[in-house]
Amino acid sequence: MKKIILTILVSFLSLSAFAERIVMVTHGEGKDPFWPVVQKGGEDAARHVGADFEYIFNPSGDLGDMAKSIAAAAATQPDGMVVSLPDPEALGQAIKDAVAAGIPVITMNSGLESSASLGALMHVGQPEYLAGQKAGERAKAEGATKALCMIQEAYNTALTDRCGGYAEMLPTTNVDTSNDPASIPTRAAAGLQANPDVDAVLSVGPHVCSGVQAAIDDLGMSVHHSCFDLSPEVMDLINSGKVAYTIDQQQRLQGYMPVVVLHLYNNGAGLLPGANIPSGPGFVDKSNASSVSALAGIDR
Amino acid sequence: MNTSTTQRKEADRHQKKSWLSKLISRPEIGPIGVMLLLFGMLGYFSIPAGEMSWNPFTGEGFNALGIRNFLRVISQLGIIAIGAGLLIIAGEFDLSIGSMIGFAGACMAMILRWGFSIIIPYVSFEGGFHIEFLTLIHLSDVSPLGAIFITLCFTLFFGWLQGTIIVRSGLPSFIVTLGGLFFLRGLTEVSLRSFNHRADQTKGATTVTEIPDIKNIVNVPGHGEMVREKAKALPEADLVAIAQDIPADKVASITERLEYTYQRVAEAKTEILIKKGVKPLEQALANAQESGNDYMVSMIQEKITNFKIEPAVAKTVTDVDIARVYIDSLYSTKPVANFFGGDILEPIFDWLYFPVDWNTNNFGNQFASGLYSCVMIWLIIALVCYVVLSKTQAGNWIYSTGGNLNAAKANGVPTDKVKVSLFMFSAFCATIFATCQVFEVNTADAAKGNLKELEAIAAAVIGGVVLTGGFGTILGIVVGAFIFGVAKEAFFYIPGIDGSFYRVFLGLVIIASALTNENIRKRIMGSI
Repeated sequence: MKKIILTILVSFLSLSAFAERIVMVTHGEGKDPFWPVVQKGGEDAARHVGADFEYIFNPSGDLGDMAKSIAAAAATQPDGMVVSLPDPEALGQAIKDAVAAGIPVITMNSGLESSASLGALMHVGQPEYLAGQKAGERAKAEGATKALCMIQEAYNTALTDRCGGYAEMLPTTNVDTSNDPASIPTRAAAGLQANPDVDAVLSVGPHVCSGVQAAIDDLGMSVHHSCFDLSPEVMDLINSGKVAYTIDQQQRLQGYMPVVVLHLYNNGAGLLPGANIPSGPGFVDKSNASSVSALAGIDR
Repeated sequence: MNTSTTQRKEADRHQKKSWLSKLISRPEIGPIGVMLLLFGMLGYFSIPAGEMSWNPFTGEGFNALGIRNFLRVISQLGIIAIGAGLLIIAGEFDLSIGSMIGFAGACMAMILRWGFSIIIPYVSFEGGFHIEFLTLIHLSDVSPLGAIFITLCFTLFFGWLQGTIIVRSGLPSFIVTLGGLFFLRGLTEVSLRSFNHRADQTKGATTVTEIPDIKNIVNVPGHGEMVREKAKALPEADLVAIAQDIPADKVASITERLEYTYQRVAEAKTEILIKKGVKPLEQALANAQESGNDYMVSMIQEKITNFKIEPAVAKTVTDVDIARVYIDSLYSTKPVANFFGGDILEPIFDWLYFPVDWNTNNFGNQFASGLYSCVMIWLIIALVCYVVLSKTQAGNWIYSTGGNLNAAKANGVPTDKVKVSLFMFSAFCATIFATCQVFEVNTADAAKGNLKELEAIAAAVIGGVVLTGGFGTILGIVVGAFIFGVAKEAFFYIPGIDGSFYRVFLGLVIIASALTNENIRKRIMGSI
C-alpha cells in the first residue's frame, strides 16, 4: 500500500516537475456564483497552454487566512501565481514575499491601485472609472444629454468611480438611493421629477436598477436607462427593452488572461504586454442578452 | 419680579382653560408644527421648475405617486417606531430592531423558498467520529401565514430572552440589546450561508432569490393558480379564450375604462410629440433673437404658432387587452401575502384616474395603483397601541415603569412583566416590518434593516418621547415617523442638488425638532 502511494506521489512530482504549474488564490468564499466563472476561465486557459492549474480559496472569507494561503502556495515554488487583491494591507506582505522568492505574480479583480507597488507584473480587472466612462460614452451616442446617477452607497469608492466616469461624458447629478427597497423607488421618482430635463439614468447596482426602473415606469417617462452588473431581473429588463444595457466586468477574462500572460512570460524571455489588461467593461444589451443568460454562471 | 403673583397653586389645575391654551399645551403640538413645516417645504421643494405657486400641494411631492411612495417609507418606519417608542416610554432601549428585521426577513424568505424542517444534529461513531443529522419534520411547501407564524416564534423568543436577561441581571438594556444587534445579524448571515442553497450546492448565498410574487398569485380560469405577470404573458390565443368567458357587464366596464385610457395615452403622446417638435424651433428662435435677425425671428414665430402634428390615434380595444385587465382585477388567492405586501384603496385610486383624471402620469396611464398595505397595518398597530397606552391600566403601568421605577414597584406594578412584554412587542413590530418588506419585494438578504433601530429611536424622539422614559404619546410617535420619513426623502425633490446633502439636512431636522420638543415639554410640565 505504502509503495503504491509512494509511486503515485513520485510520478505526480516528476510529472509536475515538467509541466508549468500556475496557482490561483482568490477571496471568493465558495458561495458567490461569480468565482466559479473565474476558476473555469483559469482552468480553460491552463488547458489551452498545457499548464497545470490549482485553484485555492478560503470558505472563511477571512483575509488573514487568505494571506496564509498565498504564503503556503508560494512555498511550493509554482511557475506563476494569480491573486485577487481585495485588501492590499492584509495581503501585501504575502505577495511581496512571493515576488521576492522569484515567483511571477499577476493580480486580478480588485487591487488595481496597489498592484504595481507590490511588485506584481500586471493587473487584470475592470477599472471602474473607465467602465463609467464607457457607459457614459455609449449613453451619449444613444442620444442622452443630461443624466442622474443612482448610487446606493455614496461612500463606496468603486461605485462613485462608476458615477464619476459617467459624469465625465455628460452632466450628471448623483442621487443617493440607499439600499432600502422602499427608499430606492421613492428617491428615484423624486430625483426624476425634480430634474425633468434629464433624459438618461445610470444605476450602479442590479437591485437599484430594478427599483429605479419601477419608478420610471410609474412616472411614465421614457429615459435612457443603463445599469451595472448582472442579475436575473436586470436580464428581464434588458430583454423587454426597458434597460438599454448593463455593464459586465467579464470575470472569465480575469481568470483566463493572467494564465495566458504568465505562460508567455515564462516561455518568451519575459514577454509582457505594456499595460494592465482591463477585463471590462463588457456591454450586455438586447443583442446578446439571451446568449449571456445562457452562459450565466459558466462563462459570464 | 414679584414671586407671589407667579407662584402656582394646586387649585390652578381646576381652572378652565381656553381652547387655544389647551391646544398649545398638548405635548404633540411641537412635532405637529414641525411636520406641517416639513410638508410645506416638501411641497415648495417639489414644485416643477419654472412654475410659480404659493400652494404647496401643486408640488410633485403631493402627486399620486409621491403620496404612495412617501406613505410607504413613513409607515414602515412608523411600525418599528411604535415598538421602539413604547419601550423608551417604559425606560428601556432596543438596539436590536434592525438586526431583528434582517433575521425575520431572512427566516421568512428562506421558509417560503425552501420550506421548513426540524433537524436534530447528533454525534455518530459509526464509520469514524462525525456529526449526523436527523430530520424530524420537513414541510416543503409552507403557506405565507405559516412562514409568518414560525418566524414570530423565533423573534418573540429573542425579544423575551433579551427582556428577561435585562430584568433579571439589571444590566442596562443598551448593552444587552447591543449584544443582540451583533448576535442576530451574525445569526442571519450564518443561517443564510448554511441553509440558503440547493441540495447540490454546499454553501448558501446571502441573498434569497427566486421567491415567486406570492401576493399576485391569482386563479386564472382554465389555467389554475399562477402569478399575474405570467398570466398576462400567456399566448394571445389563450388570452382570447379567457376573454370569451368574462361576463358581459364586466367586459363593458373594462372596455369603457380601456377606451378612456387609450384616449388619454394618445393625447399625452400627441402632446409629447408637439413638445419635441417645437423645442428645436424655440432654440432657433432664441438664437435668431440673439443675433438680431428679425426676418428669421418672424418666420420662426410663425412656424411655432402654426406648428401642427398628426395627432396620435387611440388604440382599439382588443380581447387580449380585456383579458389582461381582467387578470389584473382578479383577487389574489393568497390573502395573507396580499394583506402584508399588496395594495389598499385601489378603488379610490382607480376613481381618481377615471373619471377624476388626477392620478395620471406623463404617458396618460394610471399613476399609482393604490397605497401600500403597510400603511393600513401601521394605522391598526397605532390605534391598538393608542387605546392600550391611553385608556387601559396597562398603559398606566408603562408610564409609571418608565417614570419612576421604584414608586411603580412599590405600588404593585409588575414592572418586570411590563418590560419583558414590551421587548417582545418591539420584536413583533420588527417582524411585521420584515413581513411587509418580504411580501412587497419577494427577496431578503443579510443586510436588510441595517441602521433601522436608530431611525426608529430617532422617529420616536422627534415625536416627543423622552429618552429617560415616562413621557410620550402614540400620536407623537406617529407624527415623528412622518417627520423623519419626509425629511429622509423630500430633499431629493430639489433640482440639481447632490444627494449627499440629505444627511446634513436630516441631522438638522433631528436636532431642531428635539429642541422644539424640549422647549414645549418644559412649558407644559411647568404649567401644571
